[in-house]
Amino acid sequence: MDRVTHMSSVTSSCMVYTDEAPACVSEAVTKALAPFTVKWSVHPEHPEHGTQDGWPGCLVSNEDWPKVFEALKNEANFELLVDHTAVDYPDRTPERFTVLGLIANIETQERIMVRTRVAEGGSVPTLTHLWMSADWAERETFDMFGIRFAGHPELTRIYMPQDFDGWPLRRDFPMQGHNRFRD
Amino acid sequence: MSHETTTTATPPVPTGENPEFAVDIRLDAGDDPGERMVLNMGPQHPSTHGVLRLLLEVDGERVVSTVPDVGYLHRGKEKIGESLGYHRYIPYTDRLDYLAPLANNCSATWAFEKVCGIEAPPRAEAIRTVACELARISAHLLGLGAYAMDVGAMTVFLYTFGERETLYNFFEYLTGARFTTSYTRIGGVARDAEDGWLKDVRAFVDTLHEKADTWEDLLTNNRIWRIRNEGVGVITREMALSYGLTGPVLRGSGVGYDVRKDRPYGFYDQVDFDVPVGRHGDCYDRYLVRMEEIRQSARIVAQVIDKMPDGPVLADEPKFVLPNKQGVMTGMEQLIHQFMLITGEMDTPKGEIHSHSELPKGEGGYIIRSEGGAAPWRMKFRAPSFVNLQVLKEIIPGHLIADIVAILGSIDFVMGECDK
Repeated sequence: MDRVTHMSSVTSSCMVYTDEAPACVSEAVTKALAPFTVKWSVHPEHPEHGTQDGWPGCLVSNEDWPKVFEALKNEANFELLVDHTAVDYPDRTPERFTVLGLIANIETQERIMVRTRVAEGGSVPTLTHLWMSADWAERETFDMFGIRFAGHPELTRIYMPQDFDGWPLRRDFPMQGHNRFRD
Repeated sequence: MSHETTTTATPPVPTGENPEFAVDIRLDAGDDPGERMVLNMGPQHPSTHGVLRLLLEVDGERVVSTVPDVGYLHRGKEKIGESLGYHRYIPYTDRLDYLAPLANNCSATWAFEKVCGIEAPPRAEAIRTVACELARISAHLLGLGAYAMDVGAMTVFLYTFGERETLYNFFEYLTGARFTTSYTRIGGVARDAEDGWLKDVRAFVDTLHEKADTWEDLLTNNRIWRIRNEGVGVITREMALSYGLTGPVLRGSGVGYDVRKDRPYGFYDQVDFDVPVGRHGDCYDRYLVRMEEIRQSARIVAQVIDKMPDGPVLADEPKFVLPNKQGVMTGMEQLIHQFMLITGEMDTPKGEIHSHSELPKGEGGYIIRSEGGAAPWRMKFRAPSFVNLQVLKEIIPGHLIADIVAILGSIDFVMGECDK
């Protein structure tokens, strides 16, 4: 199972960020995020959209990460943590990983993708005090990428065996695993 | 027989500070263990429907605390997808929720089309919507049958499996396979649905309302069924939202959240259907919601077939869409075209997408970061079963061991999807 494409030369994310919120961001969100320094992602060809498919997306600093979620949850009524994951750019310096959290307001059907960046060996503040679902979600991201979440009650592997060596979803983890028998 | 047991010191409690340290999940008996014991339910217990492991701390028959343990079926689907590319990943989606492979095929294809920036023709969307709803009926029938059998009502299982057989015959005729369907393609579906097939499906879903009444007669007012399910495993609205529950489990707790209705995709904006919600959030409400969803799915299928548009079932986007299979088998150009797309001569636009779809177990979706090329840079699948299972540690304590069987049945999870 070889890779169909060899893209090891990707050193930075394709996302484009600006300081001004695009048109798809609602007023409640802008108001809730007023105290924070937020960079908004824009689609290069459709500036009114946050991402390729129209959801707004933003990039916040590591320290603001839980506060941004707290503000959006309490002030803009984003009640559901839909998804949580990370993206790995092995050659990007200094912050190798982007952590993503997707939240939804189930009344207005708005969704927003919040992103933050973290270096290898660094840690991101946990969201477990806001959503119970962040518990397993962060354990999964930790298990797959090795990103620590500071303040998580029990940050252990969830899919892989506890004694597994390596972080499977990092781009530089070999597709065929560690071939201990061949070497 | 001498069996030497070695007692070691209590292993350190995992703090998350040192993840390389090998520790197993274990329960803390507290200061006063009393008569409590730790019981392993699964990963091979019949009521866990797969390989879910529950560590239970029990006081007699009553559960004091529980730790669900998942991951026994982890196959690294996301890594496979990031390596193989969009086209070659579609067969792997059959093995996510293996009770509703068609719904998973469609879910993945909708996401991949967003990445490519193309849309499937209306007829393909309509056929996918029919396929998704038939898959939902089939998944709910199995969930219902197995749930009832675990709680002790054998007959329902036999009835629902009879209907599932009819559905699998439909799937076989449409896709060529009963379970591993791999039916969708980027930009459409693999082959057109024939008029005779649509007529047969239409006739089948019309009879489904009456059959659903028969199954309900066996359970809804059955005294034993009600005693086993009413007031058991109550999930409140706040708890459901905090745990990120979706699908029938969330709707059983009174939240009418359904992405088919709220953010329509496919053909769902052109059909009329209701979203059933429960009031108490117990096992019985989740059963009622699922029962009603079978009827609503039958309604959707009937409406889509009545409105079935004509036209092609594959988009005319040669940069991303595979050529017609008939052409590949007979024409050199089409063969080369298919070979190039499959082996990676495809350049998707860069960007990040999030796609959602209502799978039988809850909201499924993909977050895909594309950096160009024929494979996603990062592909995350939101497995609804994985998210839904987390609530077990909150609702099981306080119940009897026998109630766990009812709770597991009412959550209706699939470990293939949960463990990815």
